[in-house]
Amino acid sequence: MQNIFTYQEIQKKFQSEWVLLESPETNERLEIVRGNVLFHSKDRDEVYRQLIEMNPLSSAVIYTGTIPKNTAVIL
Amino acid sequence: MNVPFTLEEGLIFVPVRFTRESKSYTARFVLDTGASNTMLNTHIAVYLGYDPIASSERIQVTTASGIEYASRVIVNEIFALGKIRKQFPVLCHTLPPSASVDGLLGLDFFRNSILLIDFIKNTISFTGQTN
Repeated sequence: MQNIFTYQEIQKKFQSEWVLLESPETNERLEIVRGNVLFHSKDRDEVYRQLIEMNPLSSAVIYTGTIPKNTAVIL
Repeated sequence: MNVPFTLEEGLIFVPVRFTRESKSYTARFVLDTGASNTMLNTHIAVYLGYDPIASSERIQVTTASGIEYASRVIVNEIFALGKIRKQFPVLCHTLPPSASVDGLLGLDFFRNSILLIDFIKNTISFTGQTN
């Protein structure tokens, strides 16, 4: 079953979730434009588990949330 | 070549693509000039067919919060900022979900290159030798 959405549609439909995409289309900057949504969850590790289990040929996982304001990130 | 980047809470986000045989994964990375090595989420490495657990190379990683250990695997191909590196070593380690990234693009990716980060225009210029 195909659930193809644009990046903007994914942002609206799956707010603050991790979204597994199959066959993501990208623009010349390698930014994701659209893709077939295979799975989505607020649990990132579950999405990664599904990535391994579903094993699509071409994929991406995007996060539709943002880093909270006033958060410092030191990696 | 100037490549635009996304700045979010002070972090430089760049898309990165990993390719191995018929498989590819488009990842969201942070450019980290404080990281000596490029780092990839362990789950993604497994998805691409690498085996971090079986890797004989365990590397000590010194982070801001302490010392950890990560496996090193050689990825077939990594593409970022218009450049490709082949047979490139990456450390397999999973960053916390709050970082919201699949990995780090470390200084090793920019070796033998000139990297200019323009925080006025939010662009990166990356020139020089790659394989």
